[in-house]
Amino acid sequence: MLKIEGFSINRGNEKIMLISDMIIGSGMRVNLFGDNDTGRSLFLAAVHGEYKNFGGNILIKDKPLSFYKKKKKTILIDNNFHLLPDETVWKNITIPLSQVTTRQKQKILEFCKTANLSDKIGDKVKNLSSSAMKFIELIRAVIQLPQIILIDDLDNYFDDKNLVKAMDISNFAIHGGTSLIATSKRKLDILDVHYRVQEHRVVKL
Amino acid sequence: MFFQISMVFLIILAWNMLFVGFELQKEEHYDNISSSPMIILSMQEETLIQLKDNLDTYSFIENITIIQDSVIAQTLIREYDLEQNTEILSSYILPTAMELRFKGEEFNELQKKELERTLLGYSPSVIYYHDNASWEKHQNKLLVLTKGYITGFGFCLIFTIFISIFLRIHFAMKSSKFWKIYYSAGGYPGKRKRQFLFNTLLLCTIPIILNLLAYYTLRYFNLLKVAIDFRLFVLELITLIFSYTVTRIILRKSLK
Repeated sequence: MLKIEGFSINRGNEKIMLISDMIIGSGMRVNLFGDNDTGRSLFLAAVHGEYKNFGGNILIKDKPLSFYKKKKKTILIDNNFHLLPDETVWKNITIPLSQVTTRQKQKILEFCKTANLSDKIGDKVKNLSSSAMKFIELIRAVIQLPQIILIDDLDNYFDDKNLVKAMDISNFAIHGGTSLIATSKRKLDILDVHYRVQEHRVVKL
Repeated sequence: MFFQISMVFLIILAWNMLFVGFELQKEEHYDNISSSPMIILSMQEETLIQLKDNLDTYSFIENITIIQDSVIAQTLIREYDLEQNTEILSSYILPTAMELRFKGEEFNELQKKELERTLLGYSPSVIYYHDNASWEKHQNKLLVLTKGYITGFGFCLIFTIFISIFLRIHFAMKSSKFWKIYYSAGGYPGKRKRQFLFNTLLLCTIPIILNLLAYYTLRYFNLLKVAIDFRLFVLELITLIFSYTVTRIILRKSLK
């Protein structure tokens, strides 16, 4: 699914992140953890195609990122909230969907139940907690079954209990072949594969 | 979208009404010019017949009627109740008259001069009477009306361009946040461009189609006497296409 070779992010003359080789298969749940300022967010932005000032190659299904310029491949859930605050939970979840199928509707309702959003589905998003907002973004990403879901600072918004719920929701996409890459400050045991950023190098544990 | 379509529809409607108003007023002046005939008198009927043949070639003359002296005499007797003086009247030699009626829309200054030149060639055997003051009054009003219409037309053109561009940019800016979130949420790349194109198609066609429908409905029920030049609708369509092309160029970066 995702193949990274000789990847590097530079800040001036200093290399802040080096990945010699990383292969992430379909349906894998990967955790990349490390301290602040280690380039985790830039790595996700690079995979997403938003950050281009990096060295090496990123290939998704053996195709370079430029191939996916006009095709949906990854969904990035970053540290900002990408929601319409005056719209309802339902509207925010279904924004990218041209039409909501019965199965999607059923799944959304199911995920909302898992995320304790069932009774808030008609509420405006601005009245919700940060955690609930991140759940909305996660459900919205999962329901689209992209090739890769990228989540930045997963542990920032979800405590251990909510993390379990988030993984429950993600499993729908994971079983459909989507890979998940989540960054965090600490190792998240709930994920399957772990990479640590140490001394600017990304090491597989 | 509904608001934009309604606004453009109303502007185009106003533009068409300007045309209709102009045509109605013009028609009124043309009718007034047509209803004021020129009377040519001559003692020799042959001269008038010869003149008639000559004037028949002028397209701005709607019709020519020769009124013989006997008809004039009968008319005078009937109009002024002169039955007991028939003999006195018959002792006078009355002239033959010729009445010219003009096509108001064609009988302007150039044609009038041409006609006067022709009549001068028959002078002094013919004399003519025409209400020049009325003709000049209507010509002046037509001139003012035409100038007013051209100004109004220009205003409508610029106003349509301005409003359609302004509204489009305003609503595009307003929806920018939505599109930003749409894309970050994983929405289909290029959807905004396609949506813009689709909306452009609606904004160009629906107001024009609605105006055409209104126009043909009014014509069908004989509620509108004036026919709108179809080229006006084409021009309005071109104006809208131009406006939205300019808008597309202005918004090229936002639509990416």
